[in-house]
Amino acid sequence: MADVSHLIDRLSAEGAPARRLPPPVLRLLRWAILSIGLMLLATTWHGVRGDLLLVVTRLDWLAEQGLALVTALLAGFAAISFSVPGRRGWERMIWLPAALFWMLVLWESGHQDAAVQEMPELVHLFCPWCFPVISIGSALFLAADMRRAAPVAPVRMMALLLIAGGGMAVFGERMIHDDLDAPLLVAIQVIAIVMLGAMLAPLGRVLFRWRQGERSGS
Amino acid sequence: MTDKDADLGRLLTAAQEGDRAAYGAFLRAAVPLVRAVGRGKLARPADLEDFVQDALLALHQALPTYQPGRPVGPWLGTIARNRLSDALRRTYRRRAVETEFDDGLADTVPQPEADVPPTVNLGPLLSQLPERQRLAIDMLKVQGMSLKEASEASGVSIGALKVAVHRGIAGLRQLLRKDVDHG
Repeated sequence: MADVSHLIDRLSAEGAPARRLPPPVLRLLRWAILSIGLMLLATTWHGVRGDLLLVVTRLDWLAEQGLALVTALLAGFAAISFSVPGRRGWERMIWLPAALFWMLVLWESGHQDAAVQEMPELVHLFCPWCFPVISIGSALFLAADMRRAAPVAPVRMMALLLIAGGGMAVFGERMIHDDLDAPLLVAIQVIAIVMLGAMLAPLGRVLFRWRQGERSGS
Repeated sequence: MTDKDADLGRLLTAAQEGDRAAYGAFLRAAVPLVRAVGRGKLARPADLEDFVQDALLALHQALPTYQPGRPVGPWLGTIARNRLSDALRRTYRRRAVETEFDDGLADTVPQPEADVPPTVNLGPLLSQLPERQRLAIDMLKVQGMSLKEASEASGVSIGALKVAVHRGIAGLRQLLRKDVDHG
């Protein structure tokens, strides 16, 4: 008990104004702006797809892109919510309905256009430049934000961080390339992202850790 | 939000603004709540104390994540439960190592007899211990039987023998200390 009192005295003596984290919605907005900035940067390097003005008139393309972006944003929001102790449970699951709806829309598009879908070769599942730049970049932005918060669920934070980054990359990549539109291809990309998220999730324990402060009496 | 929660919220908000006295008061008020999360899950008082200190350090790190106006209970509870799961993981790991050591060596190897004669006469102190603890110490530490042999001879399980020896030695240590204090 004396050790606990000593620790409290030490911590309160260290007390300085804390740089309070903004609410999750503002943190999400900041991350979205940074990620979209990164996409614009990739666009200036690669240029937008030639048929952009044509595809934006297609409802199915708009729906798929909208759902990709919404899923990425909601996964990011869920990841941020996990880093704030005591948030409501639904905030952490909110990305799932969007992801499922996205899959449903992809399934429907793929089903209707099965005859005309062209699957690129397996080596072209992702753009080797745009995808890594956007996904890793936006995941790093989110990780930097979350490292300032509380690592109460590091594994789930890591999985959602990767899903959010991957979702952003799928969205950005399709603004740049016109050969990655096949719904089956997008579905494979999404499954690959989710699997990678699940596989790399344990790394969250390394990336998001409680600082090992010096305990009193130890 | 209860009155207590609102009070904690005010202290926490003041602490975020750099009020050291409010921070100290908040941490002091948080200790019983944190302790309640760990009590019943962590058997050894030292483990419980370690957990409380860990949780306080975690609260210190998570201080910027509290949003004024939101309930403190869920915020504090989430952090305490997170630290508890880590504390339990550490405890299980340590127990596994201890069990492995005991099963691998102490169960099979007879305890060596002491070369140096004891300078304190333990007989009277041993007789003050409860029957079960005295028997366990006698078989394992005086007669030098292995845990397996002692278990077969007494009909007491190996686990119960380990506990009895551990408690018996702790009891002896206390008795010895009293003996020394009284001259």
